[in-house]
Amino acid sequence: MQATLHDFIRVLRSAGVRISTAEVIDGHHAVGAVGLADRDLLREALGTTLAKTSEERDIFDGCFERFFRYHDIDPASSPEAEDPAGESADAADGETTESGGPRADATEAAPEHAESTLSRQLLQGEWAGIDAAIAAAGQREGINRIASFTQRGRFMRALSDAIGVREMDAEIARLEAGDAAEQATALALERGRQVLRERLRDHVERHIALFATPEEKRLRLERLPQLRLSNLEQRHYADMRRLVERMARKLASVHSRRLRETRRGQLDIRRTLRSGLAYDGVPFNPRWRQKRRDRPRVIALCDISGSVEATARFLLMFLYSMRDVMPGTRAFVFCSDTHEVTELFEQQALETAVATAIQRYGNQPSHYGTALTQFSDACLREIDSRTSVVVLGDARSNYGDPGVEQLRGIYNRARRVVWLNPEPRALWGYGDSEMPRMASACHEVRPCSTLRQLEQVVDSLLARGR
Amino acid sequence: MTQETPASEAIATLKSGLQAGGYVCDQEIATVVYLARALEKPILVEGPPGVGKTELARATSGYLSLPLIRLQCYEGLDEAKALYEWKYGKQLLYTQILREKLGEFLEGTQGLEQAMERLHRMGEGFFSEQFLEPRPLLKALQSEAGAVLLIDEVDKADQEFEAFLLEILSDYQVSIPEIGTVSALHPPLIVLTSNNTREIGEALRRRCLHLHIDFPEIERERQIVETQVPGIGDNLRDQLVAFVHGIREMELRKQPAVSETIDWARTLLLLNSDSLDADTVRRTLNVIMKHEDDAERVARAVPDLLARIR
Repeated sequence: MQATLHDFIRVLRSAGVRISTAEVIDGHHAVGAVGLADRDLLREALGTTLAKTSEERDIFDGCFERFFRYHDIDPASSPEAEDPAGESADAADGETTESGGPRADATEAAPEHAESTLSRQLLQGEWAGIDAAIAAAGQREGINRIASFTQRGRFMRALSDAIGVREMDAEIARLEAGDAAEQATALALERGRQVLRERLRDHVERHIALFATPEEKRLRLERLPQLRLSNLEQRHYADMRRLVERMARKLASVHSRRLRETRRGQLDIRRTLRSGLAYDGVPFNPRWRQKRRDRPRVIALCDISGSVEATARFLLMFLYSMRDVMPGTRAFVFCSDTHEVTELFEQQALETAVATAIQRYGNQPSHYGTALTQFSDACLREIDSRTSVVVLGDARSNYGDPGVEQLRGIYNRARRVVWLNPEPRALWGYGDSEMPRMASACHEVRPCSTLRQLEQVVDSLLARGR
Repeated sequence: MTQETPASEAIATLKSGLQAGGYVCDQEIATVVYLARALEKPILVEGPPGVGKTELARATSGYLSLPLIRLQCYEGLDEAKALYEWKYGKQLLYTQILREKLGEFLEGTQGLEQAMERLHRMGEGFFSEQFLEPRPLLKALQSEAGAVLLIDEVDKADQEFEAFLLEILSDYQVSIPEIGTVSALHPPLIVLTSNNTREIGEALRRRCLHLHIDFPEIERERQIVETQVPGIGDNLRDQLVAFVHGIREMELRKQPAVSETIDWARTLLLLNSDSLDADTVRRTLNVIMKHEDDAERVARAVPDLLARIR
């Protein structure tokens, strides 16, 4: 049981539930307290000790259903469950095939012709025994470390060698050369071999479904933040969305705390004396200086022409996942004309809003001069010393007017102007890139091509949003 | 494959025990309470407001006949209010009263240093347990027979306070600088509740059993209304619960919780209604809907909802 529980915990961990060693110990205690007889009870007991949020609980329930369908843990119903190797033996499955399956062949074929254990078991239809052998072999070969689909062939070969399929093949060859009774046995064995093959494949695939898929996913999720946003494909979007949300939640919780931060240790003399009046002027109640942090006001201006589109998508997604900590965020998009998309994001779900914005206003060559002029006309008056302006673009203006003057107008009023450029630094200033000139009217210029960099940008917006 | 085991029996007993105390719970809740006692671990209860998180602690303390010690969390809650405080007044009074005694005691000493020396030999004196004012957490640790400690709305307290709780939650002890470590005479059953206004820290979660209580299914809510409002007729009760479940399917700012269902049942009982009709619902809607625009939206949907529960 201990091994089974550890396997289960590995499944949970790779599915994204964080389980510490202390919780593993708790899990064991909990199993000890409720016993194994009642499946629902076991699920509740493990669920409450291992899953610590309701999202994790949902994942847990899914994993539990999948895992313990295959891993029969009831000691009463399957004798193999006593030894750790028996964990994968699927007794129920074995019985159904046993009754209807290749057992019938054994009537015409005499088991006494068979020499190897496997052949005899096949002819007698002892599928439970065979399953136990497969499971034990799987345990030895380390099938619960299987990492991906590509390893299926290897494991199937290893398992069939381990349970003695090769010996059986030799035997079939020998029997086929023999008399009629022996040939019939060979035929029966041949048929049994087909079923056995299916069974092996089943066993391996079950383990792939349990162990490999989460493992692959975990690798992918770890790699995604470092990938260039422009290289991402449609199929990554769902994962990215989740990552963005997770990052946003993390940033939000960190910064919402800082909003209330007090600067301890610096005496506020005025307020201390005032509160001391009640005690005859004795400064009985020291008062400390409070640091006020305002919520940052962010205005984002995103280039959504083809080259920058992917990055814009995730910047917008990020900003709007942070609505709780950054209310009043406004967003504009442009190719050559500037459009406000704030409302779009308030009305629609994130993904559709991003898609709509890009579909409606995108797919044109960018013209920074026009875009910045319209942008500053639209909201220069609202930009004040509390506003941070984030511009996302590659600053490639197709040799037109880059609009540096307009940007300078914004620079003079805003708290900060941050320019995010998805191109690598080495390319800035080459060809039609106006980045060096634009940089003169920005407080900060950052390359921004991966999710990780995007996270840093949002973090700095919040940190300096005082 | 369900078999009777000591554990499932104990859980069934616990469940019926809680039910006898007026708390209708399901298998999950009973299992968690059982495990909390078996493993001596705190329970972290999450869920929307009004589903009976606090009530669980109260019912458990009633069932176990242990005192319920409650600590309500809020922003700015600190050790002095949660754990202990020195009885400043008593300390002052005692120094005043004992002034002469102290004078005698220090007689014959020469210079400040000798006097200090003698005072040192006296021991801690004014910083001993007699001058300690126990607050909820310390009280729970000191209680002889054990207790149920309810730390309510832990998400409202600061993150620092959460960190401070960790020692109690895992080791059932606290460190008081002047005295040393105080360990529990009998580990109390700790129940923490949270409405998730703030994400609870990983460290705290790890030390607790996690229990998420959601709005109950229709059958359980009926039972709850029946136990809480005994005089209500079966017909009205079924309609009322079905109606509330109908409201919960709507998109609202705040969905009516169990406590609101109970309030509504009491209201209707008071008004001597024996079945729901559009007029009664509209008149008493403010009992379950606590936001103006929610109430309006529900009021518009009343005929629909009523048609559905018939």
